[in-house]
Amino acid sequence: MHINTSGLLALICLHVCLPTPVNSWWLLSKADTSSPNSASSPILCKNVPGLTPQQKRMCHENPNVIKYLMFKFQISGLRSALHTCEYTFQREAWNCTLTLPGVGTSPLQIASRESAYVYAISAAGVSHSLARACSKGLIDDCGCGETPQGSDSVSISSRSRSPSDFVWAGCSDNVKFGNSFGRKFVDQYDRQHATEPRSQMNLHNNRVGRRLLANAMNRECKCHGVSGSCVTKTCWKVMPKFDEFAARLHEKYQLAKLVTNNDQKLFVRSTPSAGLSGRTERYVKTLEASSKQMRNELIYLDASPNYCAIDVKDRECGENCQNICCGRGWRTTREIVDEPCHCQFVWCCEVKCKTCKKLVERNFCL
Amino acid sequence: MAVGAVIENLSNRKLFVIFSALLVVQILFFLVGAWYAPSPSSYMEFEMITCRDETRGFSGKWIHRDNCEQIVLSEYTPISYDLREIVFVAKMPHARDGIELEYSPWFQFLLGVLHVDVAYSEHFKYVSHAPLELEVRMGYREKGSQKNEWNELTTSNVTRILECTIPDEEKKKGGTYDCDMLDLFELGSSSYPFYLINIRIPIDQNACQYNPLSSNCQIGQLTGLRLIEIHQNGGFTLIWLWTKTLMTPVVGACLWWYYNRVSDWLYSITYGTFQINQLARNPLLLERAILYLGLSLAILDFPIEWISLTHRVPFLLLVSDLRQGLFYTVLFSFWLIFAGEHLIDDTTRNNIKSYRFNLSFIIIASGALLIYDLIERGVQLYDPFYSVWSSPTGSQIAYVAIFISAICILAYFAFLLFKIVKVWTTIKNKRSAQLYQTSENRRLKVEGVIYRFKFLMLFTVLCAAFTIIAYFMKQYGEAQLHGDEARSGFLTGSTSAFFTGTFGMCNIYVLLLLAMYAPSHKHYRGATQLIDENDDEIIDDPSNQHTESNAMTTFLKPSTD
Repeated sequence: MHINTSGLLALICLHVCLPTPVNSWWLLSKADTSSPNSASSPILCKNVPGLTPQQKRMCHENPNVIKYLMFKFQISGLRSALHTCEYTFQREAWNCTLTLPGVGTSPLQIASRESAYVYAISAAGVSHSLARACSKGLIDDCGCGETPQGSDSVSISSRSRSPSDFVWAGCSDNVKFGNSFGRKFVDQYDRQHATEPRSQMNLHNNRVGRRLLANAMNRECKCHGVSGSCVTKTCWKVMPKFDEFAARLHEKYQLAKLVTNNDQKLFVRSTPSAGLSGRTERYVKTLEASSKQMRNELIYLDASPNYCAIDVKDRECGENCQNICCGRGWRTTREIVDEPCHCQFVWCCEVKCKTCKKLVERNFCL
Repeated sequence: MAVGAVIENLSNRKLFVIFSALLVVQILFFLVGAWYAPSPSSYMEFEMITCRDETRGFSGKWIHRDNCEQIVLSEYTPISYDLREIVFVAKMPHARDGIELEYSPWFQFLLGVLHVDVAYSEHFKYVSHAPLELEVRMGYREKGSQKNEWNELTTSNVTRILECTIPDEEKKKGGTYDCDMLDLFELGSSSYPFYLINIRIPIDQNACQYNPLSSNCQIGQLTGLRLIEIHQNGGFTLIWLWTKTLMTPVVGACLWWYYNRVSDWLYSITYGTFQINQLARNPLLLERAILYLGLSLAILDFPIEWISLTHRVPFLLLVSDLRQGLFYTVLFSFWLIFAGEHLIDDTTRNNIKSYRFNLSFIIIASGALLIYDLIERGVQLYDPFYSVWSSPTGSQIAYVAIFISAICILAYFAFLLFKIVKVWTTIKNKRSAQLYQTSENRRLKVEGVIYRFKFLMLFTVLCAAFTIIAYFMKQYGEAQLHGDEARSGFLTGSTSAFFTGTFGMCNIYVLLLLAMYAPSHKHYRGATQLIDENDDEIIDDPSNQHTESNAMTTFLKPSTD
C-alpha cells in the first residue's frame, strides 16, 4: 500500500502557509510521518499547527483516540481515506491530487464537487478507523453509550455512562462512537464558522460521509432462543470494508448537487422531471440543503476548476485517455515484463513461481 | 347430582370485571417490558488483534494486549513453518470510557460467534465446506486479581465448517469472501468478570503437502477473525426475575385452590351423599390436565435464576430450556385433551389411553428436541466450545431431531384442527337435532359443554392473536434500529415488551383456566356431569334459579336463535 506522501506533504505545507486554514485537522495525517512513536501524544498535540483551541483540548484529553487517527498500522483514518480516494479516482481527470501545481491553489480551497468528496471521505475515514480501533480494544476511552448529537461539550466522555449502565443495557456499536467523536473533533472549526456558506457546505458533507458509513453497515443476527430458535435473536452491525463504502460515496460524488447561498442558508435548485421538454425551467424548485431529501446528498458551491490546467504529461491514463489527457493525445508503450507465473504454494509460507515474459500495453498522456 | 364448572355459574357482570382486570394486568406486563426493561440482549464486537508468539503456545503463556507483539497479517512473514506462532487475541469485555468494564452474573449467559475474513488468493485457494480447525484457549480473571493474572477456563480444539461464497467479479486480488458466521462458544453462566481468548490456527505442513484435504489447507487466505459476544442484559434479567418472582406465589396459590376444589368436591360427594358408589370418582381427565398445566406453569415460573447471582450454576440455561419444553408439551397435550373431552357423543372419553395415538406426536416431538438440547447444551457444560453442528454426524443427528419434531408438530396441529372441526360439527348437530327435544337436564348438560368449549376456544384464539401481533410489533421494532440515528420510538423497546407480555399472557391464560374450569360450588344439578350420560333425573330446585343474567345463556343466545 503506497501512499502519495508528497501529495500529503504538499497539502500540509499549503495549509501551514495559508493565512486562513481551511481545515487544519488534516495536518494530523502529517504528524504520523513525523513522529513514528506516537506515544508522546501531548507533545504531538502542541506540534500540530492549525488546530483550534477546542481541538487542542480534545487532543489533550483523548490522546489515545487521536493516536488512532494516525495509527501506526495501516488503518490510520486519514491515510486510508486519502489512499482510497486516489485509488477511486485513478482513472479520472482529477486523480485526487490535493495540490495543483499548475494552478497554485489547493482544490480543497475551491468549494467544488471534489472538495465535497474529500471532506466526506475523510470524515468517514476518521469514524471508520476509530470504530475499528475500538473493536480491537486498543482504545480504552471509546464510549459505551450514546453521546447525543449537538452536545457542545468537548470531551468525549462528557456523558459517559457508569459501568452499571453497561450491566443494565450493554454498549452501543463502535461506529456511533466514531461518528460522535468525529462530529466533535472534525467539525470543530466549521462549527464555529457555521454562518459561512463554505463551512455549512463542509459540515453538510462531513455529515453525509458519516451517515453513509453508518447506513452502509450490514446487519447480522444470531438466533439463540430455546434449542437455537429465533424467538430470541440478537443483531449487530458489521462495518463495511472501506473500499465498499468509497464506491458508494463515489456514486454520491457523481450525483452531487450545486447549492446557492441565500440568507445564510444553502438552497438547491432542483429541476424535477427534467425529461419534460421546456417546462422544467418554469418549475424550478428550491430545496433547503438541510432538508430531508438532501440529507444523503453531497453538495458543492462552486464549479470545479479546470483540471486540464494541470500538467498531465506522462500520467498513466489506462482506458480513459480521452478524458484524462484533456485531448492532448497519448502514447502507447509496449514493454515486455517479467511476471511470476505457474506459482506453486510450498508449505509452509512460501510461494514458488516461474518467471514468464508478458507483453504489456500502457498508455501515457503526451 | 353433578356440578358445573365455575365459568358456567358466573354472571355477566362478574365475568366482565374479571376480564377487565386481567386486561389491565396484561397491559401492565407489556408496559413493564416496554418502559423499564432494556432490550433483552446486547453484543460487543471484538476484532481480534494478531500477535506473534515464538513459542507457538507451548510455553503456556497467555498472550494479551499488554504483552502482544502486534503484527499485521498481510505484511507478516512467518519465521517458522508453524503458523501457530500467530495468535489471535481478544480480551472480553473491552474497556469503555476509560473504565474497565466487567461481566456480571446478571448476564446469565455469554455466547460467542466467530467471523472469519477470507481474502481471495491464487495461492491459498478456498475450497467450499473446508473444515477450519482452531486451537482455542479461554482464560478468566477474578475481580480482585492482578491485571494480567489469567487462569485457565478451558482449552479446546475446535472444528467448524467454513462456508464462504464469492461473486465472480470479486475473484481478483483484494477480493473478499462472504463467510457464514461460526458458533464459537456458549457459557451457561457469566460468573467471571473478565475473559481472555487466544486462538491459534494449526497448519500441518507435511499433511498439506501430501494431502491437500487435511486440516486447514483449504481455508483460503485468512485475513482476520472477529468475535461477537452476546449476553442477556442485566436490566432485562432483573425485570424478568421480578416478574417471575411475583407471579410464582400467585400461580402457587391458584394451583392450591384448584387442587382443593377438585379434591374437596370429591370428598363431599363421596361422604356427603348416599349415592357413594355411583358418584365417587377420580378427578376427570380434563381436571387433571388443567392441574398438570398449572403445575408446569408453576415450574416454569419458579425463579430459580436468583441463585445464579451468587453461585456458579452453568446448567441453568439447560434447565430453563427444559422448563419451557415441559410447559409447551403439557400445553399442547392439554389442548388435545380439551378438544377431545368436548366431543359429546364420544364414549371413550375421560381416558388418557384413547389419546395415545395423538399424544405420541407431542411426546416424540418434545423428545426429539429434548435429545437435541441435551446434546448441545448438555455437552456445553463441560466444553463451552462444543457444537453439535460442527461434526457431520452431529449435525445429522441435529437435523434428524429437528425434522422429526417439525413433522410431529405439524401432524399434531393437523389432528388438533381435525378434532376442533369435529367438535364444532357435533355442536351444530346437537343444536339442530336434540337440544330442545330431550329433557331439560340433558339440554343444560349439552349447553354447558358447548359453552365451556366455546369460551376456551375464543380465549385461546384471542391469546394466539395477541402473541402474533406482539411478535410482529417486535419484528417491526427491531427493524427500526437501522441507520446512524436510531429513533427511540415506542416500538423500539418492543422486544422486551414482547417477552414480558407473552410471559404475562401465558400466566393469565393458565390462571384463568384454573379459576374458570374448577368445579363450582353452586350446584347446577344434572347439568354438566360429563361422564354419566344416562343420568337423566331432573331435580327441580328453585334455589338454583339465578337472578342475575347468566353468562352462559347470553353467550349461547345468538347461536340458538
